[in-house]
Amino acid sequence: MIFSLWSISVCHSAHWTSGTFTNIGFTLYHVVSREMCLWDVNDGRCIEFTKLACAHTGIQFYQFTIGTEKEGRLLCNGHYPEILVVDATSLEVLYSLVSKICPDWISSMSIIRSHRTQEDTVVAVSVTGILKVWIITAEVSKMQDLDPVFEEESKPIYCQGCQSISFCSFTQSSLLVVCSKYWRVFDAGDYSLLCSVASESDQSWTGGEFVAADKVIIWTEDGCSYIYKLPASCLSASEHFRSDIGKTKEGSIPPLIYKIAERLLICPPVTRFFFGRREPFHKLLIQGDSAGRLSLWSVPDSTPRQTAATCLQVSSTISLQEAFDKLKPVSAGIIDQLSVLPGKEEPIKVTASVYIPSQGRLVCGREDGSIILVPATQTAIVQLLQGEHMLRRGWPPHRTLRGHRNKVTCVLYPYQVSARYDQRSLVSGGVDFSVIVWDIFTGEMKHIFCVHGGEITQLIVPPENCSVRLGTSVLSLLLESRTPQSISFQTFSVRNEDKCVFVLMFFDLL
Amino acid sequence: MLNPQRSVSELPKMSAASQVERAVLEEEFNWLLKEEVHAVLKQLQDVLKEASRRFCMPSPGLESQLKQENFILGSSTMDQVKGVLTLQGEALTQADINLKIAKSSQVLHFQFREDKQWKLQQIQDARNHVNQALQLLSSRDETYHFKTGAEVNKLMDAVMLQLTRARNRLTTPASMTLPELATSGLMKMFTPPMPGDAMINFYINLSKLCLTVYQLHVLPPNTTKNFRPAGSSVLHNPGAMFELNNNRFEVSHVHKVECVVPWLNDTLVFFTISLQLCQQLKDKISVFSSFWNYRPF
Repeated sequence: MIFSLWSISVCHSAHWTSGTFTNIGFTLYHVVSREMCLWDVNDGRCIEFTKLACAHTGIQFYQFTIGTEKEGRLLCNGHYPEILVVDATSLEVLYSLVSKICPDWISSMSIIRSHRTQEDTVVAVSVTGILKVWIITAEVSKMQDLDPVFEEESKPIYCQGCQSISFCSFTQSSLLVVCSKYWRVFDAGDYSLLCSVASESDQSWTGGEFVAADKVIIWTEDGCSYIYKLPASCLSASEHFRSDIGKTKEGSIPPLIYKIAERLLICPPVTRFFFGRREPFHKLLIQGDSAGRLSLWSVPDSTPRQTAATCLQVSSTISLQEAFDKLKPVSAGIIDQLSVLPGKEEPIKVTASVYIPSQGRLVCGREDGSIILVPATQTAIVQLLQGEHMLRRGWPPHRTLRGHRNKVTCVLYPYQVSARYDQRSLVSGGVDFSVIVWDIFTGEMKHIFCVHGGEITQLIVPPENCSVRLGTSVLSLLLESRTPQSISFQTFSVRNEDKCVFVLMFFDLL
Repeated sequence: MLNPQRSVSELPKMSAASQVERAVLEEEFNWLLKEEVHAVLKQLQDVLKEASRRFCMPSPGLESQLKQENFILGSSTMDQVKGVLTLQGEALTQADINLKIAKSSQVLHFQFREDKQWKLQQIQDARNHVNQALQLLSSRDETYHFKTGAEVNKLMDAVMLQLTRARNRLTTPASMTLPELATSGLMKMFTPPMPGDAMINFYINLSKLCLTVYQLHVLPPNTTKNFRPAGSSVLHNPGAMFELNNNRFEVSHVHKVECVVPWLNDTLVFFTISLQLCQQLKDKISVFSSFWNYRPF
């Protein structure tokens, strides 16, 4: 599964947030560009794509059956004062759950399935700490284009900055609300507070779940998790149930089992609790972090006898780097046979590339400033198939373009993006502050622009309907470079033989 | 980047010098992470707490304790539209509007129906973004030890995103189509009820509270005019057309009056100051990043 997910990240950059598996695939939401995509996990295709006006912070999948048909919905909450109900297949917004009393952004929500009735409940906490409850009946779920559904209940529970809310599926009678500085258990019937535990000064909770009728697991921002045993006042089966309501006694609940992760992480890991509904009923804590590592802990059912907390060892762990290193045979770079230097272990790294299907060519920019043009299919054959070609030196036939003094950071074939550019032009940018325009057929350096600003990080072709008028028939490339403060504003115009004029524009960002 | 033209004999001296330089840089960087970062974060928190105070976030159940402010919206040159709006927190609790219909000296007067409020979503969104930025900062107080520059950059990026969004919510009102305006809940909030040939919209633009009034006339079915429904926009122009319930309308007059809300102005200034503080801290960190080529930075 690690490999298939890796192959899915095609053209979108970082900042993916909320993702959820649905009945037909995997939905991912990109926080900066506000795009929602539905991917097929079998072949990595993007089935559906939509751009939304609002910013989501959470998506949950909700499936129900109408007769014999299974219908999927996505419940989304984010920077808007309602919960949107989206069709899981077409990614269209169907209706929304709104509030009459104190409408505000929703911090977190949870869907409670009812096994007895046709009514499912959505429980959510708003940013101002008000608990909201909506009932989704089967009638509502069947139809589309509905008026908004108003809340059944709205109760202030004074939990601000709520990170997660979850329903106890073991007892069906309590709710766990985790905020960054404390976690609380509420009675799911009348939402009264049963117990509240504050965090230590340097801990910051990010989520939690019930692992048993009397145990909860809460995880923190830096990857640690703690399992607590709930006091009797929280358990509906106990005779002391609800005995602590109204009292302000701080729970003296000892941590039961805990696990420490001492890794240096740049950002908080993603932690989830998984409870298998079929044999053998695994209870697993799963964590994925920014170092590309996935770890699993098996949560035991028993209670250890010691009074001090026990450390739970990791059951299994793997990282992307380890999985990659274990490959046999080890994957090779596409032009390794041309990049190996005598006396050096590692071949010269490829730092930028572009594939030109119309010419069947692959253009690779390398860390020493050279650019290699190779025929794509023959190059792939060398890596994948054995044959006579392996004995030929200098195979596949290639052309080397030298001009950059240091690492090439980007290459662009503008004609591929828009036919208004010259078929011969190939543009490259590097850390030596320069942009070079090459003739891809002859290998000649046509123009070199030395940017005073900094390293070139990106080359972009403006869209078709973007017109920049500077003289006659002007076409432009936009490039982005990195400097401490700004990029200076300069224009260079170059006239090619026929109609293409390159205007490189650098924008002052002061 | 070493200049390849330096002579080989200078290399041992250079490497010794660069060792010393490296040690000094490391000390500077440690100072930055231990002292300077926390000082800047404290400053940021103070500025954003001031901004948050301007929004005076209500505790649930205590909304009535928020102070009410009245704003007089009018134009000195024309007096077709005059309004007195009462803003309490993020909602307009009362709107007293006088409308002079063109071609008649009759002045129409409208008010919100009793106990009706119009929530200005822009203000709520901006307030929530500021609070999210404050929550991000409060999780990294003086007791927290930053171990890498990347952590600081990540925090600054997250805070800047929230502040930019907060500012955008105030500077970019929602653009709506004319049918959306006509069917919006706002039209049903007035007493006496809004006539069918007038539409009203409220929004925040930068630090100004704006009231726009559209006067419509019905296009007869056999008109010679080319009917082109207008798209969505923040402010529609006279001549824009739309269709609703099998009737076609054209906007004949547009009146816009506005008034500066002083505390919104303050918050915009606070956003600018905070964004500058964040960017400056990021720049200080990035001075070191170009030297740490091989560290897991």
